[in-house]
This record gives sequence, C-alpha cells and structure tokens, in this order.
Amino acid sequence: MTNALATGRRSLRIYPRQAEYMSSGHGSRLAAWRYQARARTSAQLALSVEAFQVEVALLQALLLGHRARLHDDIKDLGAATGTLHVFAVSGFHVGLIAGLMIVALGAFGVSRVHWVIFLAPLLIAYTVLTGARPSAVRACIMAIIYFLGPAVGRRPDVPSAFAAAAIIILAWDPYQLMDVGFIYSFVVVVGLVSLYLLFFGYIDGLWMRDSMRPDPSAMETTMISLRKYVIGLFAISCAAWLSSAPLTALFFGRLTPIAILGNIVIIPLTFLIVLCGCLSLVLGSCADVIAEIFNHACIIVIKRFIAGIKVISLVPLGRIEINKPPSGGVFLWYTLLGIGTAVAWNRRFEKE
Amino acid sequence: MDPLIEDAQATPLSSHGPRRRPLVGIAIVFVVGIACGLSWPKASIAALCIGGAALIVNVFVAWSRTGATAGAWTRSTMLCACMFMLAWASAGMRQARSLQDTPSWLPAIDVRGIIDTDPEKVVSRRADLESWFLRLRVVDIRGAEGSWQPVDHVVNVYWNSRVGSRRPVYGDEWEI
Repeated sequence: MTNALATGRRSLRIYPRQAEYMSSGHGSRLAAWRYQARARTSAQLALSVEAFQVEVALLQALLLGHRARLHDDIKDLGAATGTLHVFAVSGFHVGLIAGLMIVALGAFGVSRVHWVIFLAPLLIAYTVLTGARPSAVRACIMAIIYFLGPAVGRRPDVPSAFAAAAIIILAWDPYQLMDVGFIYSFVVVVGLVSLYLLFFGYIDGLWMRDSMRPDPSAMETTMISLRKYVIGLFAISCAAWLSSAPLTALFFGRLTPIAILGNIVIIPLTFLIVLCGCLSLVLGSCADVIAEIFNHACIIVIKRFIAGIKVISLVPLGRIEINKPPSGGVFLWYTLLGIGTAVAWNRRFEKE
Repeated sequence: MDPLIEDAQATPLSSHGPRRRPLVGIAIVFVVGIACGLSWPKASIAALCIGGAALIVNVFVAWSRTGATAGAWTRSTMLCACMFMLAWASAGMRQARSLQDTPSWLPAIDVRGIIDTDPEKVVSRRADLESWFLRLRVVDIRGAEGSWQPVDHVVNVYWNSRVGSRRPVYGDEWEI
C-alpha cells in the first residue's frame, strides 16, 4: 500500500487483500455511542422509503451530514446552482434546529431567560452527532453564547457571540484558520450580519412608499408578511453571495450568480425537509408508523427540491468558470465591500 | 430563516447603533496572533517582544492621560497585547511541533492504524466492491529496515472491500 505514504501523501486508496484485520474496540466510548446513534437515526429516516435511494441519501446528508452518500448527479447540480452548502450540516441547519426548538419552547411558555438550558444540550448533541463540521461548531457556539445573554442579565449580541465563537474555536485548534470551511463560515456570517439589514431596509423601503396604508385589511397584512419574507430571503441570498463569491472564485475558480435565485427557491424547501426530518426523528421514536408518514412527506418535498435545482441549473450563465483571481484581488474586494458597508451604515444612522 | 437574523430584524434599528463590543476587537487581535503563529512558528519570541513593546507604549500613553480614561486604555491594550502573544505562542508551538513530526512519514512501507471515524459508505463503481471513506489514525509504521516504530498521524482513506467481507468499523485496528 504504502507507496502513497512513501511519497508523503495524506490520502490513501485501499483495495481488497491489502488490509488485514487485527483487533477491535480501540476507539473512545463516546465516539462509538455517537456513531451508533447516527446509524440508528439514519435507519429511522430511511424507514419504509428505502426504495428512494437518491432522495434518502439527500435527506441523510441534509439532516445528519452523511455527505459522502450523496449521488454525484446531485452534487453536480448543487455545485452548478451554488446551493451545495445546504447539503452539508452548517450554521443554517443548526439555526433551523434552534428555531424549531424555540417555537416548541415558546409553545410550552418557557421564558427566554431559560431557553439556553434546553437549547445548549440539544445543539451540542446535534453538532456532535452530525460530525462537528467547522460551520456547525461555529453556529452552535454562537447560538449558545447568544442565548446565554438573557440568562446572565445581558443583552444578546450577534457580533459579540460571533467573536467569542472565533476565539474558542481557534484556541482549541489554530489550524482551523487555514480550513476552507472555517473561512467560508466566518466570512459569510460577517457578510450576513453587516449586509442583510442594509439590503432588507433598502428593498423593503422601495415597496413601503406605495403600499403604506393606515388600516390594511387581513389580506393586505398577509401579503405584506409574505412580501417581507421573500425580501428577507432575497436580502440574505444577496448578502451571502456578495461575501462568498470572491472565496468561491479563489478556491474553486468559478462564479455562480444563479446562487442568488437558487437559494431563494432551495432554502424554504430545505426548511420543510429539515422540519419533516426532525418530526420523523422526534415523534417517530414513539411509533414507527409516525416516522414512516414523515419520511414519505420528506420524499415528496425532496422530489420538488431536486426538480427545482434541475430547472435552476438550466439557466444560462448561472455558473461561470473563471481563472482563480490573485489573493490581492480578493483582499481588494473585501476592503471595498467593507468601506461601502461602513459608509452605507453611517448614512443610515444619520437619517435615523 | 436563522433565528439570530430574525431577532436582529425584529430589534429597532436604533439599538443596532454603535455600541461597545470589546470581544470583536479581542477576536481580531487573537486571529492576527494565530495567523502570525502559523506563518512564523519559530518566531514566538518575536510575539513576546511585540507584546512587551505594546505594554511599554501603553504605559507611556496611560501616563499622558488622566482619570478613568487612562485606566480603561491601560486595561484594554494590556488585554489585547496578552491575547496577541498568547495566540502567537500557542499556534507557533503547535506548528513547530507538527513540522518536526512530518518527516517520520517518509520511510513507511507498512502501517498499523485504528479507524478514527465512522466509515462513510460511498457509491462504488464496481458491483463486487463496497467503497468507504474514513480516517485512519496511524499508530505504527514499518520502514524498509523491518522494525515497527510508533507514530501518531491521521490519513484519509478510500477503502474498497469485497461485498460480504468484513466491513471497516470505528475502533478497529488494521494492518495495511
């Protein structure tokens, strides 16, 4: 085997007869428990829908981080539409799980001060169960620190939680600073935190001028809520794309402007899939039949999801292959973006 | 939508105005320290010198100010200097140790290792093979001279085994 090692490579390919089994039981018990739990939850998500191999693999990747099981066609579609990030457990997924948990806690009348007591163990368990990817760890630490604020009499603050997460992760493992996942995760969150409200306020302001009435009807109120939701999705998608595009160009040599549209379509569907998957895992642990019902619901939504990204991938110029830009160019992009954002915020505060 | 973003959206804009966020500054200093440590691992002493110089400047600046401002200035710059030095020294030491260990890979002919992750089944292109992706913690290597030497390294492995043969499991030890 070992010509690979002799050349100093850190990745091996092993074929039958090259490996000889020696003994078992050398790993840690905690890790073994984690892998057993992951296998059990994977099996529960596949209950009675085993025949839909592509869809089940996508569900297991979305909810549990089994990314290696994804079929190549789906990976290619994700890369072509700039939506590959939803296939890996990331801050988005941790946020969704936290959001669902908050809805449940709110329904039981639990005060915001006590949310962290329930959220912290659940988020840590979910992050560990799904392989503790850098973006998931970042989101988990951020969420815990954020929700810890009210519990200790402090106002929750996203930038402070974000900074604390960076310090904790880098103190634990300084090499994360070189990890592409870590860089993406932190750059995109900085982009979302600094640009989202700006974009949302600007786009929403364009509509507000015409649609503001003193006594809106129920229908108008619904339409306003729906409009705000779509604008919110668009603003998030634009902020994420603007902050991640230079990194995608630098690391992968491509630009995917279609990702702005792709995320608007894919994120609500992903939310539905994660919601059904969570209900399958939580309620399905009481009775298999409940898991089967929610698994079938997941398969229906996943079919729409796949159809959606197939259509989006057909848009011309959605994905453009380019030469990798120099690091200086990427630095210049972020400097200009930072200056522009600071000026825009300054103007906004002056108006207020 | 991310609940953190929803919350930010729900909060009045006036509350998003400039406010004290000391952790953000500390995090930036810490990240710069880590980057320096990984880039110049053997220059950790330089980190101490820079930190020391920052402290001296800090004392002079604090001297020229009066009252509560001087105390706040002293505390914050001392904290930043300490975080910077700590980050540089920590990352530098780890990087230096890692660079020192790397050459022990080169003479390996056979290895013994323990499977360190849950093997991920991947799509196999051959019907008679099952394919797995896993991480192997290599604990012993054998060079051309024939004797086993203990090491501690992790490698990514694409593992192909015949259908029906023993599948790789977390915690198993294998000789390859």
